[in-house]
Amino acid sequence: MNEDYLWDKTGGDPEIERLENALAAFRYRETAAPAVEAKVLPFKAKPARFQFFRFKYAAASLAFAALVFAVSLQFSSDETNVENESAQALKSEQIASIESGSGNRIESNVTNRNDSSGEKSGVSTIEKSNDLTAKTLKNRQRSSERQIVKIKTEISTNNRRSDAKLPTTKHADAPAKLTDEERFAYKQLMLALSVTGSKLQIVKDKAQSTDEKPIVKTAMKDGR
Amino acid sequence: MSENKITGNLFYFARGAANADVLRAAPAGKPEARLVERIRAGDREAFGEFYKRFAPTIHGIVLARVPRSEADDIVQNVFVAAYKNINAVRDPNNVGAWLAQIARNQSIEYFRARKPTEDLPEELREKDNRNHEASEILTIIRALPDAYRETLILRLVEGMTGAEIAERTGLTNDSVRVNLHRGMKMLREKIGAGEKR
Repeated sequence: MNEDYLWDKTGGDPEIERLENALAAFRYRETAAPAVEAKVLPFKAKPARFQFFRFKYAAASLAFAALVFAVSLQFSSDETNVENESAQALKSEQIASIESGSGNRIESNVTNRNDSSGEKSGVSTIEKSNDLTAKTLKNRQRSSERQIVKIKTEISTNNRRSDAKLPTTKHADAPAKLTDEERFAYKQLMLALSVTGSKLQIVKDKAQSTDEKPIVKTAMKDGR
Repeated sequence: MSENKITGNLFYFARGAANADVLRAAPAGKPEARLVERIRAGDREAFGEFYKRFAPTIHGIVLARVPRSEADDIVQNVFVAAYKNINAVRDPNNVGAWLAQIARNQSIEYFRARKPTEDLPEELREKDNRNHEASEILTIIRALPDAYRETLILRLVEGMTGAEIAERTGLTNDSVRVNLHRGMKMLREKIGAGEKR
């Protein structure tokens, strides 16, 4: 077979010429171009801003997520402050009540003692009663101090329990229990944050997958 | 399948450009690129020149797939579709490849849309016998792989040279040369096997 003749018809090849002569019956016969009355369709190329739009959407989602997160943080810090204040108030009230209670008892005892001693005891009796009173006072002070410490430990254990129920709040002075409404609002905020986070991930995956797609098929380059 | 759908998958040719103005501003090196620009501007005469230049190529590509009696109609449909969607051409210098793909798609669409065929009458069968050898050869060529049959039909039927085939279809010279060589070899083997029977 003459390769040159097959390529550009230089030289000759009987076999190829025979095939050409046989197949010439099917050759294209020149005809007129079709009457094209149809309009040339305008082509709208997709602008580059499509990609920008996708990133804009992702940025907006990110901003919204940041806003929700900031609001939730603010909300939780407000809760913490309120809880701290209420805890402080409770503690101070409790301590004040205990101290005032013990003080009153001491004062009443002292008053009773003083009333019951009378003038018959004289100075020594008065001195003895004063000694007794001082001792009693000391004992009662110690017992009241022990009670205060006991109450303080009870308060601290209660606060630790309330900290365990609130998963995100980690504050030195643990807040008191949340109301039902506050707890519900907190849960709603956490749910919104998780939903926004999953949507952001979807947008990110779509953006990454679109960037990886080839624009031009190599097959078309070869005319196939 | 509408014409827009047939050529719709070719629109990615134009997606690489930011906008249509960039497409129009592309340098027109080859004569067909200039023809494309003129057709876009509404020049009917340019379309006539475009048809005259590419019709033999499109006819050969269509003939590789569909019966001869249908090839002429399909060629016309190809150019009508090309005219309507001329703005979708991404590279006017390579419009031949774009046009060739439209021809292949139209050929596929022909087989999807055609009705069940009836047997030829006796008198027509006798006329076909005159070209019996040619029909047999054409049938053998159509049974070859796509790349070989198109190239062989353009060379043996339409009488184009290898360089012309490469220019009109968007293939490289080397690809055409390989297709011609391997296709011819395969054709000879099949014709030889048929003669031995």
